[in-house]
Amino acid sequence: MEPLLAVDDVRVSFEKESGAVAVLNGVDLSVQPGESIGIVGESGAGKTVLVRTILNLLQEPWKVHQGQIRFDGEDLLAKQEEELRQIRGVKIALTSPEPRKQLNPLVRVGEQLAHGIRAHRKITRKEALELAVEALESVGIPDPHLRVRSYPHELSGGMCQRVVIAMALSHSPKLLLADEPTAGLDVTIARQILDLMAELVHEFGSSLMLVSRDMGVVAHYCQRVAVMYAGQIVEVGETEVFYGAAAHPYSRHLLRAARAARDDRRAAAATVEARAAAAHGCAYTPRCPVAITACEQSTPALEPVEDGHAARCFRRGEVARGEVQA
Amino acid sequence: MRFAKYAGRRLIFLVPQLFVVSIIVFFLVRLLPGDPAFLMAGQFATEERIEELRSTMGLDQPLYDQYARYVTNVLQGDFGHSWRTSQPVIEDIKQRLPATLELVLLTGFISVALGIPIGIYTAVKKRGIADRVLFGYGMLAGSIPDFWLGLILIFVFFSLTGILPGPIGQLDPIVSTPPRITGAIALDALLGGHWEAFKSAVLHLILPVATLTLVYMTLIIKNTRTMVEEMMNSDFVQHARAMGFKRSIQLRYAVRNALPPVVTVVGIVFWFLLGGAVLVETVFAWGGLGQYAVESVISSDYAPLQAFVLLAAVFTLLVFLLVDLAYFVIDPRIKT
Ligand SMILES: Nc1ncnc2c1ncn2[C@@H]1O[C@H](COP(=O)(O)OP(=O)(O)O)[C@@H](O)[C@H]1O
Ligand SMILES: [Mg+2]
Repeated sequence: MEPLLAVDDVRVSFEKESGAVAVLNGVDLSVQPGESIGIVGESGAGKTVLVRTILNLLQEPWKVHQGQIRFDGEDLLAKQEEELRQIRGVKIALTSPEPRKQLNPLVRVGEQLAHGIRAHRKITRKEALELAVEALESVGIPDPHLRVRSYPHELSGGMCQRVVIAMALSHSPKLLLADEPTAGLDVTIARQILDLMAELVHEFGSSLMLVSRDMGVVAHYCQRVAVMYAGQIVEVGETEVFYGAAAHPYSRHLLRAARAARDDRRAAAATVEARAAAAHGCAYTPRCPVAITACEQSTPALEPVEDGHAARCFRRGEVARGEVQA
Repeated sequence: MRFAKYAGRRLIFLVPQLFVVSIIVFFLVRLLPGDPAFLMAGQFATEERIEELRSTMGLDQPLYDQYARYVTNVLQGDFGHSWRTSQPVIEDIKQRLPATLELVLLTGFISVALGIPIGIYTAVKKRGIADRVLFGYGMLAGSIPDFWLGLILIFVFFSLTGILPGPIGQLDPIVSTPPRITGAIALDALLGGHWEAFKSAVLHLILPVATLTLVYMTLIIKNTRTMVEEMMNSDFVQHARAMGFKRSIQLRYAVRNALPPVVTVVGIVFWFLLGGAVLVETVFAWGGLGQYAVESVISSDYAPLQAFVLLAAVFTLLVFLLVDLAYFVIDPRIKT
């Protein structure tokens, strides 16, 4: 099947006066129509930058050096702002962590939803406000006809995220990019939000790219998992295969950490120290328990372990089969 | 309704502020070396006049009595006498205040009406010609004092080219002053339909207003620009962009959120303008309150000076009260 989204060797850097910092170092990823894929990886891996690159949102001092992003037959990185506007919010929508910050503090949420709706549909303000009430209702906000008149500061974080989701889904997008939608929400609310999102995405037949640092969440909601490390996808595979036979030492580390401390996020809070190593060899080498000489000399490509399961590791076979303790 | 409640509370808050201001102004004369009655009466006062003042000021009474007297007098509009004009200060003020307000308000409104759109425009269109022109203007405005700019403008537009009238006040001497309605000559001429006077008054307004506008508008432009730029990069405008919002709505979100700090700067500009008017009025022989204050300083005429300081303080309080009220209207997060 033709993928809905195909990210091909995308390289992005942050241009400082002191020089460029490479943030995405050749990302390859595809998303099939209707599937849910989880993106995991520690903080700083480049997940948010990847999401923003897909929407072609990056502005100076960010720079996309190389690569292609094909979505639904179109080349996103080649498009101008006004053409992108016809895709953003309509075909690809976004939710971000810290939902309250994504909403204009001085404008009522109903009005903001209406702005989102009218951005892509020629209807009156009044009609859009009626649709906004329906949108709030569809994301389970009680008393939606009253809540449309609320300002963001009058809503809880969870409610704000529901508003953001309502806005994201108001044009039934083909792809929803959900960047850590539950970061900072407490566990029960987080569950409700994820269930809601999964349900709506299923209803619309949309694809979902769920960025999370929680391995459990991804296992529960996604059919496939992609692991990101130092600006690269280091492993991608079906959820079941991945959880049973992860082929990259870093994936193994994440899974172990998740098991060791189910709810202890500190385990995943370590930052990427190995960025510099990316120029030569595998970026994970300094932290890798099974690194060999080859790992320092050249960068492994994202190669198949078996059908639909690939990893950027010279020893992926051994690691996947559990022949070495990674 | 919420607004009325908030405005009421802020107005009540004005009372202690005015109290503090009145105490400061009260001590202004009393802390100067020398006999306050002698200072207030002026250097050419007769012995009786000084005696009379001594009793109205109650200088032999305890300080709080003197203060109570001062406040009572002020509340009744009695600011004492100017020995220089030999008129009650209140009469002098009534005569001159409209001219100053005309200058300050006109400049303020022009600075806002031009400065905010220019600020927004340059925030959106970076690196254009407008941007470079503005950069130069900002540098100049930041380095030239207002009275000096006034002199340059007079030199260019009057002495050199003669396009505009010279610094001889609000009207040509040969044009008769229109009957007083508001006291602001251009406005009175307009209201009364005296076109000759109106034309002359407007021509005379151009240079002083241009001087003040050029000097102070840059603050509004710079601030608007910085704030709008910052807001265009805010999470919520970027989110609106990510959701394909119309460009005009994105800009509206940014401007709306940039407004509170801009309003503060507008308040500051109005406050600066009062100070600017003092010097510019002197340069243009404007005959307003600012010039009156300067002349009073020069001739040690303390009663008008005391009144001017009080008025300036009240003006400042009112400006910042308006700023607060504007904040309240703009930002729903502010509690009543
Ligand atoms: N504003 C920024 N300035 C400089 N570098 C940044 C900025 N934002 C992100 N980065 C760099 O990009 C990398 C990836 O960031 P991000 O995509 O936000 O990570 P993630 O979402 O995976 O936690 C970070 O490690 C950081 O080095
Ligand atoms: Mg992130």
